[in-house]
Amino acid sequence: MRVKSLSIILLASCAGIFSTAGNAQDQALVEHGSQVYDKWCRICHGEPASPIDMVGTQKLQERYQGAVPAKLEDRTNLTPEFIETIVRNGLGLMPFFRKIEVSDEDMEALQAYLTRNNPN
Amino acid sequence: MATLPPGINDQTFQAALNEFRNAIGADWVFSSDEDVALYRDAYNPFWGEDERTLEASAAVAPDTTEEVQAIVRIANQYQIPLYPISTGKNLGYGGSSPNLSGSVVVDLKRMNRVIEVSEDKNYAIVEPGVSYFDLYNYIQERGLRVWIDCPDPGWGSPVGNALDHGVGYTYNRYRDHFGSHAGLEAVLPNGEVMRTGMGAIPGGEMGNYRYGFGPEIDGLFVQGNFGIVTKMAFHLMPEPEAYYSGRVIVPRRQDLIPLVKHVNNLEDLGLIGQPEYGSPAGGFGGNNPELQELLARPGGATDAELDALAARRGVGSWSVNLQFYGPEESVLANWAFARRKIAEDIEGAQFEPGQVYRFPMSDEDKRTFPHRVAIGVPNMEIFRIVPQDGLLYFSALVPRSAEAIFRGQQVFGEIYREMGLGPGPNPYQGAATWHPRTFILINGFPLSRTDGDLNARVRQAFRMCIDAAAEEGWGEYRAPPAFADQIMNAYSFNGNVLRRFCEDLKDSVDPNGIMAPGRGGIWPRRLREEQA
Repeated sequence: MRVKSLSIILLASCAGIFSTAGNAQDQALVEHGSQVYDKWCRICHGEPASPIDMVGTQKLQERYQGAVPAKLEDRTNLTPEFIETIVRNGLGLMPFFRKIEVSDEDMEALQAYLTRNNPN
Repeated sequence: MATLPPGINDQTFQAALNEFRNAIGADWVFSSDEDVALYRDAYNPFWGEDERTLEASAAVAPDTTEEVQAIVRIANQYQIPLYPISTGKNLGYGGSSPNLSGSVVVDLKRMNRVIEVSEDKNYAIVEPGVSYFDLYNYIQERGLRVWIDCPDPGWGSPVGNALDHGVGYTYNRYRDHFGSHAGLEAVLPNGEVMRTGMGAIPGGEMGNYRYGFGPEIDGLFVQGNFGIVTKMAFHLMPEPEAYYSGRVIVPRRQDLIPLVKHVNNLEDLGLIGQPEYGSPAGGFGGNNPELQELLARPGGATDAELDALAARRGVGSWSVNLQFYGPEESVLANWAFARRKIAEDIEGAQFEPGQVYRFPMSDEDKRTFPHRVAIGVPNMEIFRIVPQDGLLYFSALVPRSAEAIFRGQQVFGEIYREMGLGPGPNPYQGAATWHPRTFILINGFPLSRTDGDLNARVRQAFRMCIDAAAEEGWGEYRAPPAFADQIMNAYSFNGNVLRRFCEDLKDSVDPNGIMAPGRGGIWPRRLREEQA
């Protein structure tokens, strides 16, 4: 286990040597967005442990019937504008979030995180 | 253009905002329309109509008690009404919306420090911005062997929840959340800081004994407007060795009468946690076609017909899950005692054993536990029953008896039908037992973001329910701001002396009427005179 972890660290370090400063900033933004997601989104949009768990994930499964991933983190078609609209206006039973909860900076990071796997 | 506080012009308002900025930093004063709109009730009973009803004028987010004091002093200087919120997640009961349009919301979310958790003396002291998730995580990260008692949504605040008479799921001395508090700190309307209980003695231990000496005034801060609570202590349950839940099923509808008496006794003897009533015969809203046909008949169904149908289907009329906490020997012995007492009295009662869960429990086992709040694990599962666009909770306090449940089904069912809001409560709708000393008949009225007509009918039905409940001698335990006045006025014994006494206190301690005007149906003199 230790060897494997070390390998990952080394690979990451090598990758870091060749990364640009811009990529590092992007990565930091995505990491920040992941933390925002953990704090505010994952409690409803995480991996369900049971049929009554993670109401956000369950509702999206009902709505899209598998046409897109029910877990938001697995989506590749969310746009920054759509994410901001939903967070600031809510959707259905999901309430909107105040800036004391998700600040403008948090929003930018969350957008970066949820669009990180979008096709270019 | 922001909604201004009543009687305040824009120039004065801008001057007050600048003072707030100087006191707590410009980053923590929110005054743009876009930012202020986020303080509306997300489950807004005015969607599709005037959505800015009960809208704030601005929001301020202090980080410390000293900053709260500064805000209160500025509000006094400029006569600006304030409305404090803790985490602002009181959905179904108003969210972060003030009782008075134009109030400045004091958003306490940044005050999110866990001051102390004592594993030896089983208490916690927290600030209002701490959520149940935060407190739970704090305890778990440190491996402390104490439990929190949480309501259904885990993102709420222990302080905010207790201050709205919120409730939970474990033993009675913990799940009455205000009842389990052990002293508080509040900023008074004049800007002074006060502590109650043993915290009122310099060097005293907040968390020890809530009464201290003299009048106990902590209740003034519950659904009231006598100050902004900035710290609160709560008793915590020590982690038990075991949890056990067994299910009792009784065959006939009228069997609920003796069942409730036995369960009340088990509760009051301290042998069980929250009893969870249900109905196999009426489960899932009475979706059985035969049952629906019976209920749709003019005059409804008789108990004999309902019992015959339940017997044909081979299901009981009522069930109750009994929850036990403590040593393994004790939980099993208490379950045996409950079985014996109920079996002696109710013919045909059946008992479904559960399993013993032991603690400490792994995180993975907690994730799959059937009802996590019963073991103090916060989550968000409750939102699975919230209708598409949210809801209003009508929550009537009724005596702990089956007779009150039956009467409530009739009284509130008639209003649902009259207002075209569906069949409403059926003959198997039970009561919520979150509070250990009363039943709560709770009905969630659906809201729509686009159908203003539905929302108007829901508001009218809500008001009819308040009046109908009052006719029965019942009142509500919490409610969205739009209904606070009507509810308070229903507590009308001796010419509304309860409200009038609170108003006298209000005028004395908050002469400028700046502290949460209208909260709990209590208005300061200047606004009472305007309304008159």
